[in-house]
Amino acid sequence: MHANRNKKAIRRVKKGMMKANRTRNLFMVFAIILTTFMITTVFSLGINYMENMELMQVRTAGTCADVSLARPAAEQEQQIRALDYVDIIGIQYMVGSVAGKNDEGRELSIALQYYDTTEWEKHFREAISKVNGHYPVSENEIMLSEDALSQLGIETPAPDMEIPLSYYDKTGRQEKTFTLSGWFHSYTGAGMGFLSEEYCKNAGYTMQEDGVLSLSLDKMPDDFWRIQDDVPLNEGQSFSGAVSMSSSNWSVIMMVILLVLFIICSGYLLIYNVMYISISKDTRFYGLMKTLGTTQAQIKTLVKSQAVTFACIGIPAGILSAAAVSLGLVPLFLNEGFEQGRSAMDAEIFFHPSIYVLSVIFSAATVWIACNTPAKKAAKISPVEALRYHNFTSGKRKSRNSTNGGRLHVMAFYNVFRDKKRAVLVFMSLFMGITIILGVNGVVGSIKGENFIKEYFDYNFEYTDTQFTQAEQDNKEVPQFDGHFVQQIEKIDGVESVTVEKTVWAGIDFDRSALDEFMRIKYEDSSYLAKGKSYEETVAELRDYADAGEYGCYVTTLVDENALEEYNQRHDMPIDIDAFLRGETAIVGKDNEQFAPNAALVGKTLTLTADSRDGKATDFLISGAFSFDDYSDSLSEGIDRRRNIEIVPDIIFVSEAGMERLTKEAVISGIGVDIKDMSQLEWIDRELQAVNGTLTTSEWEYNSTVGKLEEFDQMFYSVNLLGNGAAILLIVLGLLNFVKRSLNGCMILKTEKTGKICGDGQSIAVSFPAGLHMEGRM
Amino acid sequence: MAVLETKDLRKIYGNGENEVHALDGVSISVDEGEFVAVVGTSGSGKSTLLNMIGGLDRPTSGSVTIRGKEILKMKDEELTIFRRRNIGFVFQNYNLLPVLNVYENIVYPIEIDGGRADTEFIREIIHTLGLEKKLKNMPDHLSGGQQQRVAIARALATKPAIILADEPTGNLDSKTSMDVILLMRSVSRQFHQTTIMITHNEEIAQMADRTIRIEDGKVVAGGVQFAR
Repeated sequence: MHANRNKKAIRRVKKGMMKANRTRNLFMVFAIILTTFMITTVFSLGINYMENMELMQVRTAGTCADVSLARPAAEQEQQIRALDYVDIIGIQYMVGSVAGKNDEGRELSIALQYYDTTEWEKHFREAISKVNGHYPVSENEIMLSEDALSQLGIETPAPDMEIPLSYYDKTGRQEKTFTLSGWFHSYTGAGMGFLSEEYCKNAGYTMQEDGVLSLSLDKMPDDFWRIQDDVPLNEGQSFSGAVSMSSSNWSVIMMVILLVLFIICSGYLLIYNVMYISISKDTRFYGLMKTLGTTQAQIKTLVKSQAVTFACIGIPAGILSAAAVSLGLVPLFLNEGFEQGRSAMDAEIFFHPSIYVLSVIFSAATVWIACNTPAKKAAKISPVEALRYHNFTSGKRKSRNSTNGGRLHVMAFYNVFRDKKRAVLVFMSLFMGITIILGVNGVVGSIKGENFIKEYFDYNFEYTDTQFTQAEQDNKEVPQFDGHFVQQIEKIDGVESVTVEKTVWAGIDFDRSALDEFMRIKYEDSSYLAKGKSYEETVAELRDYADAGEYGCYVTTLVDENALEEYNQRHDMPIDIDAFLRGETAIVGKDNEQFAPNAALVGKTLTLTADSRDGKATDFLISGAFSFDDYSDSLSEGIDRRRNIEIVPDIIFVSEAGMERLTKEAVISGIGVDIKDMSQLEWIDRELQAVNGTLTTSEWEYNSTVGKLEEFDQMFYSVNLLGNGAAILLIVLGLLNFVKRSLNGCMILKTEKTGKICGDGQSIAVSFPAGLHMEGRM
Repeated sequence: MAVLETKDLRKIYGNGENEVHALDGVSISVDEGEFVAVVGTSGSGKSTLLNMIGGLDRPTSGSVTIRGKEILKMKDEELTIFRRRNIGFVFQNYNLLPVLNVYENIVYPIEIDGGRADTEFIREIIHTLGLEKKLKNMPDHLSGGQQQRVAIARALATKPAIILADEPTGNLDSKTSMDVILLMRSVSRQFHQTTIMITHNEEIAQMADRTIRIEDGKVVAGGVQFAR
């Protein structure tokens, strides 16, 4: 004999149950909508964030290509074209650069290039936006980036506009009037101009002399290493490319997973509770069905098919509402989150199919798992027990010898705590929900954006030369800011102070007696030791660096002199502040509590030679070693190393006078701007951006607290949304349980208490609802 | 020919000093087409016996054989399917499925078994029980007597081996009670339907072909002498 499932009969009962339980249906659909909405919103935000991160990487890199090889020989080109793991091959010609100065007297920085159709369409098109017009076709056509137009002083470009240019190409300086075939917005910050294939042909450009092969590889980073083995390079050639593994994506994925798990758990509890309450209420009904011969499998099917119906309504509704909200929410979350270089990325909304596929899968799985246990419970109901069932909670009950039993509030109290576990769940849910609501809204309400800015940011506006913040810097740093730029900032009304940090790379004389102790400490924690190199071998390698003029670090000016007094209060060996300010001494950094090699340099004299035209060997007594607690300024925080040599001081701080002794050609590496009145923040931001437009360089970053303020608001908006969402889930859960408690209690109230109530001379109509109200208030 | 036999049925609740013998060696036999009343005082074990016969509960020991099959050896799902094919129930409080109308309630046990209702037979039952005009009504729109007639129709619909009626008149007034009992007796005869009715009402019990009397979980009259 086997269980026979007759769908028609089950469908009929299901239909009847759906009609008879409208309130339950509403709760279920609401619970599923809420769960789906939250899951979809989290997926939508997560996936949009990752997509935008990718887009941002492409835009800041200015290309989708993985690798490029400049000036490839014909043989190399053939070899590359024959490689099966090279997917796309684009061609670029480096044509030249625009000559001339802008109104502020700065050299224009516009590179002229040629891209073939593959390079333009497959590698470059995605990295730019707002493309107007077309790529140059005839010899006299030119296409310019908005940055280039801005440098040329053109605010409103028009098609076929005449662009007279003075520029250098491979044959020397040229004067020519081009026709503007198009323009676009780029995110690299660099001025770019594109010329036609015809121009390059006529001017005699060749792949071997001026070309760059731009490649998309099949599998990064493996193919990046592979191609280096497969294509032999000539002297001076190298494959350039960034092997980027975005770690932030993983943190986003983890956050999304955690949030989704939290929502699934909440949704599970919510749906499970509604189903469980409904099944408990219908215990007698399911028992009767079993008595009449409905099998366990048929009862499970009945319960699950109801859940499927609810899911069919709730999931699409949840997804639709989340999609609608995403339209507003995603840009709000992401717009300011992608600030890189000079151009804040415009976040794009991706209606990625995976958002909805994942949401449907996770929501459906939540509903399925949540209804599984109640379905089993319904299927396992014993017919005999069910026929005796009167919606009372079973369990032991203590006898209460009290004369207060007839009072409404006493009865309400005992009814609420009839089932202790459930009562605890109700109170915990309500307590946690209310706590989260109060906590989230209290905290969010009490923190003001302005205070946040004052507390966590050293300056209202910051400029950073990104050449100093890169992990390695192949070439000598080119000044990005000049004194005139600082003056332009100072002239803006409302600017209170402008802090200028200057930096220069300086070689350190390899004086073993001065460096030995420092090197030994560093060596103990270095990869040299890990790789099995002896200390002496390591020293010999470092000496080679020194001989090649590469042993050194960045020397920067100390912009916050108060740090010196604070240092002296904290340390036994004080810094001679006067000597430091006179430029005789320097401070090394940065140690931490566990690892302090720089401290070993204190008292030693280092001979530094700035990498500048006027650089000469200059002695500095090291008077102190900063730890991270001693000195922290956002301008110097990001300064990295020019050459990644492990055993070298990370950074050396000197005073203005010290820098003067070292060189007069130090580069402005950071500018901090503070304003008088925070209400002028946005206005000054606009003024500064106007000044920024006069810079022709591109390797710098502008960070405004206006953006941070918005990020702050958005962060708290998200905390608000998620916190309140979670709180509402918990409160709904608590309330549903309370409703269940009350429904269970109704029978008892009606049967047990009304007798007493009536005996006391009260009317049922008045006392019964009053008792329930009292439970609710409790 | 015996359609139902119970042998030495025992049901013990609790243990030690709290041990209660709800059934204490009950052996009865019911022939096909018989209309049997089981009488006894409250707590005598009538309903427990009915639950055992109906396969709704399992005894501590003993056996129940219906149409030659020992039902208590069956697994739960098997027993459920056996029950819907061989046993019809009529309860004191009717126990109709509130979400189905009268007709759907009547044919539910047939449809849940995947079978098609024998339309002629169902029509005959409906006619006999006077439910023709109530077929589309929902149970909560029927009187107690009408609901019980629907329950009887539902019990008859699958042409079961036995109909078990647990205090079928317990919720009805005396006139309606008598109508229902007469109806049950007449359909039992008309359809040659074996019926076991539990009641504490002696007057109603006398309407049956035979009366089995139970006291303190033991058959004291009517059961043993017929047992084979």
